Amino acid sequence: MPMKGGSVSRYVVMRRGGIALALVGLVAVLIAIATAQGADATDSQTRVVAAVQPDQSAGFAVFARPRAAADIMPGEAREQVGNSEKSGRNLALSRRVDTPTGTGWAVPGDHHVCLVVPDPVDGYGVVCSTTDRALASGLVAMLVSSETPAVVNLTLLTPRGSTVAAMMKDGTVRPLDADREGIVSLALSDADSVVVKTDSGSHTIPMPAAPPGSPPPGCEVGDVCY
Amino acid sequence: MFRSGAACLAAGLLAALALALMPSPASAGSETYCWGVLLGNGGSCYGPRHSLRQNWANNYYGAQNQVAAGAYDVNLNPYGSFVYGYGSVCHSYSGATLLYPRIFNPDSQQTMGGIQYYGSEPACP
Repeated sequence: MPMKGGSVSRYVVMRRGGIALALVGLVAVLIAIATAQGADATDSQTRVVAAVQPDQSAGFAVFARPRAAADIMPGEAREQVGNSEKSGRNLALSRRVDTPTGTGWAVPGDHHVCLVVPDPVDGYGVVCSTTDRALASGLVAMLVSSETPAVVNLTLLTPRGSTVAAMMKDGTVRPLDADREGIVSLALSDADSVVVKTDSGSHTIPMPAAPPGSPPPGCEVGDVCY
Repeated sequence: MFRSGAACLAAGLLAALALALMPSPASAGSETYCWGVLLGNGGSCYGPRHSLRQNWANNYYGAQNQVAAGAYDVNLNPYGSFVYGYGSVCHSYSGATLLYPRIFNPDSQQTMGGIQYYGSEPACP
């Protein structure tokens, strides 16, 4: 009988321990869920901005001027690109810019700035960075087609007071003039890099490698192809 | 009971780990592909076919490295241009075409990840 009583007692202890462990497990799950939701909440804390921010208008000519009717993005572009709670991008604040592939837009966000550039075949390239980084080194979007891999369609949003030059493959330096809105827009070939000089220093943008062609035989979804 | 408690704890911890490691997709209709795959210089990786609305390439190493995002058509030929930028770039599409999203690493060795989106609302960051 003492043996049996001991077993019952041990069973009760084990049962309580089990319940405690189950509660710990439940708490762990709840903490994990709360953490995950907290991460999303952090992301969504960036709200779509209601106005151009002071450092954006002070640092970029394109955001300093009033918005005009010509700056409004067509509905098709708005539907494809959209506002963003991650960058705070607000397409209702867009400014029209020239790009090598057609009309594009500079768009302010919440401590972010974005460039939207059209792909002549379908859609848009959307590139964003923090305002601080763009003030330091500019914001670049480059489109390259596999059909003309040597041609880099470059759109560069430059901060006030910066200068831009292309380092050509033949060793020469080609100054690149920004328009009055601070946009450098050109189809560039035979360049090694573009150098942006700002108050914070000199920043080199290497010209990108040609985009990949069709995948080699045997390369499947999820594989790394070269 | 003890064993079920331990199992519950283990399940809880595993769930916590999974949730902590799980990338949060932009919204319904998005999925990650080639996530955590090491792409060396010149490497590319593509994801499942969809009526693609957006393709988003990320560089885990931050904003100092170039990344590129583009797509293939159903015959696995390049579709349109690749967009190149720093840190994170996104290419939107009309959604009218079945496409394979593709990320490309034009920079020095690094890891990259891609998110493709085929829902009804735009999702570029």
